[in-house]
Amino acid sequence: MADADREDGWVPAQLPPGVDPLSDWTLNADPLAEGTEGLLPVTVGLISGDILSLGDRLTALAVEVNKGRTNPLTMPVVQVPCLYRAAGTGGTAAGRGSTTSTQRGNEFFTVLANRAVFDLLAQPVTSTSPMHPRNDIFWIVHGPSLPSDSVPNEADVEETNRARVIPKAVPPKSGVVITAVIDVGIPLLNACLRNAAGRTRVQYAWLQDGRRKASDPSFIPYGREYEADDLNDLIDAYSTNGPYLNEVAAYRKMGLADFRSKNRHALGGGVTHGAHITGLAAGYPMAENRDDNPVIAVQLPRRAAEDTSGRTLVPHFLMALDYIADRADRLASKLGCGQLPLVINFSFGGTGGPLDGTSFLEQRMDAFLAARNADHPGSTAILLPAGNARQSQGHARIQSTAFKGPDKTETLTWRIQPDDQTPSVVEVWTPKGIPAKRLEVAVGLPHGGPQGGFLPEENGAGYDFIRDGKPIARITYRYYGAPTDRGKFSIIVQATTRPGADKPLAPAGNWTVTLKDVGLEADDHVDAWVLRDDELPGFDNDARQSRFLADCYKRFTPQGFPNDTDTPGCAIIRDGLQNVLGTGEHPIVIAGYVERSGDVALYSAGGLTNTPDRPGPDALAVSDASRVHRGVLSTGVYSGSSAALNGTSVATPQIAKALVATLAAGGGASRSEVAEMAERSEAADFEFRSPKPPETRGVAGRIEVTPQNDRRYRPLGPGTSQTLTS
Amino acid sequence: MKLNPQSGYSGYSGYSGYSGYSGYSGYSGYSGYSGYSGGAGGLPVAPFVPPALISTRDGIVGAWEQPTLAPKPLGLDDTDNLSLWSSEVRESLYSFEMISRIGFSMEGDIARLWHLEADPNGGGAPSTSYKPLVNMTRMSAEAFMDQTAYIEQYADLRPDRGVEIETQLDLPTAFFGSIAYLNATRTKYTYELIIAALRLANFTEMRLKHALAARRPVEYSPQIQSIISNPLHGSLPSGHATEAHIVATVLTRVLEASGNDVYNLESWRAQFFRLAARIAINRTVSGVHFPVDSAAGACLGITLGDYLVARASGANKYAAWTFDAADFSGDFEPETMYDIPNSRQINSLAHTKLGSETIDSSDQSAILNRLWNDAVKEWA
Repeated sequence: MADADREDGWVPAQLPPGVDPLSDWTLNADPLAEGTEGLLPVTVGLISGDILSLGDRLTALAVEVNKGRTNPLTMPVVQVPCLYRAAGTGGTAAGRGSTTSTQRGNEFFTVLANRAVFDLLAQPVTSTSPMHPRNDIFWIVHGPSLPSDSVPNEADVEETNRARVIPKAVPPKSGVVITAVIDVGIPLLNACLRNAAGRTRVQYAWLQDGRRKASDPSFIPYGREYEADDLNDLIDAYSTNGPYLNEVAAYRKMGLADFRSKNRHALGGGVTHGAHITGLAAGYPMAENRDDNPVIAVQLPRRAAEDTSGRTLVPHFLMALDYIADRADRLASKLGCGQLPLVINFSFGGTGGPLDGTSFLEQRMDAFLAARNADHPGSTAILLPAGNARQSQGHARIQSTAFKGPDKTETLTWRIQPDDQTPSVVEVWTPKGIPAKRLEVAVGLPHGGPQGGFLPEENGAGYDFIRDGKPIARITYRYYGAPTDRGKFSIIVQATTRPGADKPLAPAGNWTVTLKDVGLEADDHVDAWVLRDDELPGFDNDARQSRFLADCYKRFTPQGFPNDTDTPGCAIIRDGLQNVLGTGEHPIVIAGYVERSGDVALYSAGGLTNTPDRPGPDALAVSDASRVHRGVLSTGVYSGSSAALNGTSVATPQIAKALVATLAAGGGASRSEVAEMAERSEAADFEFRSPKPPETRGVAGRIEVTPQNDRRYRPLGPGTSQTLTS
Repeated sequence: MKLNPQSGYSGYSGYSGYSGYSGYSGYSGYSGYSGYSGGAGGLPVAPFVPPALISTRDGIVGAWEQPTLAPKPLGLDDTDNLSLWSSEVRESLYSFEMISRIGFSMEGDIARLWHLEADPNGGGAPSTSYKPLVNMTRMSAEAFMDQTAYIEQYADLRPDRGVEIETQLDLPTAFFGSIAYLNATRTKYTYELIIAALRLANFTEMRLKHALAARRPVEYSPQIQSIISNPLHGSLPSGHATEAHIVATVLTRVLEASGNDVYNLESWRAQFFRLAARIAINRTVSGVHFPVDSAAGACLGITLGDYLVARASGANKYAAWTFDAADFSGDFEPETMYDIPNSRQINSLAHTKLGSETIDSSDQSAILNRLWNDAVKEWA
């Protein structure tokens, strides 16, 4: 998109309508990343649902656009994962079971594709055929480039197809419940994931940016899979030299503690998010011998996980869901039983979105759960955290009555920090309804820099701010059809620092986002969110979080305590920063409270949402022992180690583990089950602590999963000793 | 004599005197060694003590009487006398016994350490011969440069390991003492044996570092940015790796020889060697060492440890090893270098056994032998 001849200043921009506004290399180029020339994980939404023919249709389009020339560099490549094919069954076209008509959320597919696909979609095309890719693709977004040795480029390491497994229509094996964890830094060999004999309980693990097998067949489209036998072989091989399993040597071999490469030492440090979360969700002392709780683990690529805006996470998360469903069914088939109950913990979250349950990921999760629970109600659950963004100054809600002056405008001050090496993003969502003359948005540079024109609600329209021939800021408008039926203005600003990069950088300071009411209804409101953009512990992307500023926003009380209350009439509010993934119909969303006082944790985000179905998270679990003792205990990376981490991320897996017990006892796992747990716990456990929190922070109330002392001293269960692992 | 070994812990002998080794501060810091006078007698020296003693003597001494009964003479070159000397003096004796039998030569690009065998020859000039102990080479500058990729990635662990790295500027005894019950009061002779081993390691590693003259990582890239000051000596072999591994080896042997069934469990040495490897790797994390330096240091430390134990325990042989860094590539993989169940060094990449060498029984050091026996008794 860059053009050295473009003059500096604001200029109109046009984006292909199907391409997600944040899925553009122009503003995301990372000088440290490996090239974008190879295959990338790409999620594509197809109205037709016909993923199998997409590659051929794109090739035909390329031939047409290139007037018959087939330059390999400009030819699209689409590799469809075997999960969506139906080898051996001769049955349905797509593995998910959708055929000619698509269901809500089922029309999203993750494939491997090259950049030429995106370039092709930017070409003007006049065809009105519904199967023309430009008309069929309603959304396409790419993940980060993966390490080159994670992606199949040679014919001999392509994914190997195998027959899809459909569990028998018989009951599951009694008492067996699968826990699946999607995270980073999952300690696959940790003792808390092994049985009394020292064998792993991890049945399947997919390292999405793992080193691809050189010769043996891979049954995943990219990265590396370890099945239980592989893990047990490693346990054996690294238990011979001395009495203890040499985890660090095994992880080095697996590419999880290999310090030759940036992407190969997810388990190098002593504490990881994935270790802590997996320990809480599925960890037990070995002596408990919990073979009735097999584990499926998916490790997200480092570069997707560190991008906290979530914009590059989509393909990997969707692929992980499909992988987990497939492997859960394979496990049932191995055990000779029907579909097994399954609890999926995904302790990730971000800000923004329509926040009404209709974002693409939420649609896909709802469709996934609806499909798995259709014949087995309450047998599969997804748990998500409420998010920790409550104090992030990342949400503005403007009622239509609040627009001021003759122009009816409201200006938000957006502070972008210096030394931020990643782009900063704000989303402005319109009220429901097709594009109309209701809202216009303009962006201004800091320090009195120029403001761009007011962008109307016009699908695909936008403005770029050009500096030295390249865009450093962009605003675009896109309309998202039913069920979202809302428009979104996306504002993305280039990094403010990037050592060694030749790109022009954006200035740090107070940017402005000015909203103009050109026809809003009296009871309409407009939401603006700053997307999450921070550096996770153990990562190194040098991101710095931007935020909204307003005099009316009070961070502290007059007494000097942290303020948890919004100022009436102030546009910048704490409410409404709930996890962007956490407003769908079916997933369970967990917030955090402080165990000692019973207070909601200050960071624990919640409503206002834009759906009456969810005024806030479903319930709260412990996320801090006290104001002084932050966090809850779980395991570190290496067996026998421990760590305290806090946040709604660690509240969530405690409920996941509780639901596994409920399912094992024959109960169901659902939002209503969690609500009942909360009602019971609120009545029984909180007599001498703070009163029940408001609905926006956790609808059904708090859950004390285990008594304080048990949780504190034996975080992973009683076992035979009081240590973390036997 | 002022030792000036690895950056932080100059002056092992600074721990003389009661106060010297009550805390780490006694021998940390550059000034640790200064106190010959301060603690030499082990008694507190208050101000004005000598004038007070002068007036006291004048008050009570009486007229001089020539003594008439001589004390029994101490035995000549008798190890029973060792307990009369200060621990600092004993350390000097151990150093003499060890270092006087180490030789060095440079043969092309191979730095060689030798064991000097000296037959007493009836008290006349000993007849001597040199036997191989360690051979070591460095790698090419390009190969070292290739290793910087590891340092860049290990830097991710700096927030994790910072406190350990800084603490390990000092002697590693606190770390080994947290596994085995090693303490300068409770296991006095084992502690002295460990300090002696550290001196042996220090003298020899410095000779090899000087000879092999390997540039530090910071000389390859301005982006290494080590988090501790760069030691003022060569990079290969790593002194920390050498010292941590000689301690792991000697402690392993002491515990094995103790006759205590608990200390004969292989879990003890497993933890000693895990700790030694972690200390070595922490130096790469901090940015001052390449992985190959750690592997070379591990080879040197284990070899010297077993050699010291052979000389002290009355064994009749030791193993000589070679570390040919020119053949090395990749990361330091400690588990490939030592066989925990069988408690022995094993051939691995660039690291091979040179041979088994004999030590004549008449060539034993009575002083080291006494130290060894006293140390082993502490673990029974």
